[in-house]
Amino acid sequence: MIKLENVTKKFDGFVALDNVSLEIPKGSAYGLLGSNGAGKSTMLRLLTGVYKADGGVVSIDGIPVYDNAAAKEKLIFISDETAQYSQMTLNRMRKFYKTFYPNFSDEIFTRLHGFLKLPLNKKTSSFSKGMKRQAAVICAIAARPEYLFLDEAFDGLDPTMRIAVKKMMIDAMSNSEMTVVISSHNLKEVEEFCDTVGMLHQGKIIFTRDLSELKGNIHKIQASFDREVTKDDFPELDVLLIENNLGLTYIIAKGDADKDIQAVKDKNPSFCDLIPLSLEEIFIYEMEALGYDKNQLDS
Amino acid sequence: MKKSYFGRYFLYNLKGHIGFIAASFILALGGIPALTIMLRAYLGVLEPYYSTDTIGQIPIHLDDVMYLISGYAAFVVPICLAGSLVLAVVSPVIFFKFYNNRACVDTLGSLPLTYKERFFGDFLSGIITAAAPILLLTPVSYILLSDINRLNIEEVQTVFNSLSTPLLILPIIIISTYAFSTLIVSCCGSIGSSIFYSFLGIAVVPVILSSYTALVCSCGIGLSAEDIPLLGAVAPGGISYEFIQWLMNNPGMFMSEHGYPEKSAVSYIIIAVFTAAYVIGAYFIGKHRRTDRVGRDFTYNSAYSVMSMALLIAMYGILFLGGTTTYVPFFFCLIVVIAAFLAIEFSHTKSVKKLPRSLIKLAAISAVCFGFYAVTIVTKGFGYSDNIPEPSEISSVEVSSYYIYSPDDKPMVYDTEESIKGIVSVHKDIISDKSKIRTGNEIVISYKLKNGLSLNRGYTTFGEDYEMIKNATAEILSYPTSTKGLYGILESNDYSKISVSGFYYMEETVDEATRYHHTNFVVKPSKIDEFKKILLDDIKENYIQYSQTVGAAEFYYTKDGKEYHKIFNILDTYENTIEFLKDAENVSDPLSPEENVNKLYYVQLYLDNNDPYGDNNDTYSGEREYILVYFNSDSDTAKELISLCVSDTSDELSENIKVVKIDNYTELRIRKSDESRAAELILQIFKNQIENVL
Repeated sequence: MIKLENVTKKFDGFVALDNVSLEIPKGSAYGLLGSNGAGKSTMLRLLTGVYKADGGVVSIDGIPVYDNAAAKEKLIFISDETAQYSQMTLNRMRKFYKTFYPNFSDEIFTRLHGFLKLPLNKKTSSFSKGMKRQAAVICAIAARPEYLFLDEAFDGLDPTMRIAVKKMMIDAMSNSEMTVVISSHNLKEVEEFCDTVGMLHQGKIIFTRDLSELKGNIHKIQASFDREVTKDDFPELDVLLIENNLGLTYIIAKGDADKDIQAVKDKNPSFCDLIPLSLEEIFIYEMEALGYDKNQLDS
Repeated sequence: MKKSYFGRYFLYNLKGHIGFIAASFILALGGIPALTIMLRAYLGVLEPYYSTDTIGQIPIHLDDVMYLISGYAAFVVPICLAGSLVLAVVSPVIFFKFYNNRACVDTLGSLPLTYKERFFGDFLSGIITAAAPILLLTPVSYILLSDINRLNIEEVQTVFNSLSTPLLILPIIIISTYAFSTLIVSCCGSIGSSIFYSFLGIAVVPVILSSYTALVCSCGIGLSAEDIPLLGAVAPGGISYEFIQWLMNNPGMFMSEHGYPEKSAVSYIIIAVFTAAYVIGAYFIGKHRRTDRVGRDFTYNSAYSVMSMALLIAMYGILFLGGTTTYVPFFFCLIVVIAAFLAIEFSHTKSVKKLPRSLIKLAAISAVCFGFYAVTIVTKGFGYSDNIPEPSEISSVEVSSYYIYSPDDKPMVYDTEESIKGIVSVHKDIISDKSKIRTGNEIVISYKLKNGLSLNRGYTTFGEDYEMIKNATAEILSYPTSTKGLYGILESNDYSKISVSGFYYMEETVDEATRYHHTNFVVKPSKIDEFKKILLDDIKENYIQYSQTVGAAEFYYTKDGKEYHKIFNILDTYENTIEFLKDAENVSDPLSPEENVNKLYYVQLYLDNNDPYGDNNDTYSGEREYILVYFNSDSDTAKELISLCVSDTSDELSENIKVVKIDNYTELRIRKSDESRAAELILQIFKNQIENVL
């Protein structure tokens, strides 16, 4: 299990992570969401022992991570930077990971490499960003770590490759109970891949929840009233947002879907329907509720 | 058991930089080691000629080989040494990637390594790359140098003295430079700043120290910069500067006239302490540095402050203590210094808004710097310049004076309590009236202190007022000295021959015209003991004199199976010696006929295809191959011999002889068609003529 207890990280007075506590169960696929500058990369670097926390403890399986080889040998971190591999060939990358991760499987590497068909003996400086990321991912999976951390996991990958990489990671998780923590702006990919998501905003965890539970907990109700309605009309609901548009009202609310739709129906709409929300919509509505308004640019 | 990945990381680092290691090895080998290999091979070829006393038969083309070796020493060796030094600066930047390469931070920082394992993995692989080749090759070079020394070729024995100290100091310079650069790299966050500030840090130290040393020397009499041993002990800037200075003074490196500056054990200890402090500092600075600041110029703001302050002080040092005396250049330089400082501040802060802060910083550093200069001047180098140690602190004193003629170049050494007290008292008298003296070397007093340090003071009198130092010298000489064998060969019996060369004297003739005698001769074997005694007495009685050299007596002697010669100048105050030498009963013609033959010429079997001096002579315009006969001197005897050779028309040689005069140097060229026949002809011509000549 990955555990952060009251972790704080500051950069020259700027608080990147503010007293964050979080638990990520072993074997889960955890998606870290957040706006730009929310602290996702910082959190990943704290989780992998690259940064030292200014306060609090980061541990993996009960072992503090920072400056601790025993904890770090369980994990691999693939950051959004790929320049460090520029002078390496894929073969040399394989040797690099094999040097530090004794569980490295040449068989898995050969299988994954065979699938992706990347050049083995060509310097990765000639690779595209996506190819470099594929190279890093296949080395990381072949190293069979207990914990795999990926920053901007699907960045630079074309749709086919995204599917391929996801499949590789899912196979690895099912074969070895690997825990994967990814941060991504591509919420669709996170939705498809992760079972748990956490949202960071301004250095704080807004929520961390099982994805299906999250999706069940936030819903969109479409209804039609003979008047414009506001939040105040629904005191019994935990409304995140209400929009009135062309005679239709969209209510985004947290809580039990059945109870919420009943509460709306009680206000006598001409019609009322429950619409499922995508993770992206949940993310946007949550962010709007926190004052992160996409419409601000329009004004 | 806890698993450690240190070994894996270390080997991975080394394997990943094989090319770099190879470059380091080539640079290390191409420096002094290659030079010693060449010298050893060259001297190996010469050795048979020296051991069989057939130096005259050394083929001339070997001079070209020596010329090539000298060229290699002057051009290639400095390039290789500079390369090795640059490598020592750059290696930490390359190996401590975690410190300056943003892309590597995540990958290396998340590897299963502790900080200690990563630091020493980087540090050791870097130092192995930068210093191991030189460390490995140093003993090889040293063995070769020792072997050169063993060859018993007097002319090249200076090679060992020239190169042995630099050879040993070089690995020290490389290691301390590497350690210092590691410290700087630990404070910096980018590759550019790491390299720039490493070089800057190495450069500013000697600038600050030498300018400050000049200031201390200028506020006291008797001090010279060489006597303040700051530079040679501060690693790496000081010792690198010293090395580079030595290299520039000795472009040929070996056969050098300027010896490498002497280093005391204390200097080595200080260098070791500096180097260890850099490594320890780098370790702790690296441990506490903030990884998130990688990419900035500095990960510690205080490190930048120290650097910028040192740079400004160094620039002030050059400006104020560098001897700029005219106002216009001075103020122009001052503006340049201030502008340079503000430019560096701006490149660091990247904000015009912070300019006032930079100006305050400039003012504060300037105030501290000038305050320090002022205090140094007022206190005369914090008392250093007028400091004469207490007799109880002194273990011995060495005195050399213009008025002590020491043929063995040995200083007078005093180590008794009475002598030391007396010399300290004389020294105090010398500096009591500073209007009469200035810094110089008319008399040099060197104190060896009990704490291992030394203190040197040198004085010269103003104008023609020599009496003060002359009297001081006389007083110092009245104290018992522990210097033994001051007159070396004069006090021993190991001489085999004494020749007097270049001896001349004036003699008033009956008609009162002045006649000069200028001649070469040897002291008759039966008179050698007498001559030795007279010369020794004259030297002892006349060492505090203003004298003119009128000749030289050359003593040939054997010691430990090796032949040496020692020259004693004959001064015009050596009246008894001069009288002895003027007496024809005591001296004789320098050489026997046989010796004349051997001494007069040597035959160089040299195939000269170019004959650059024969172009104007039709006789020799065809085939230009000659045997050259070199004459050791341009004496009358030699000239006569040449003349007879040339005029010998009865011999087949008459058509084949040519005399070439080059400046003061005479060559007898004998046309050659067959080498052995030529040798025969030469022998024949001299057999025919020599007895007549001599």
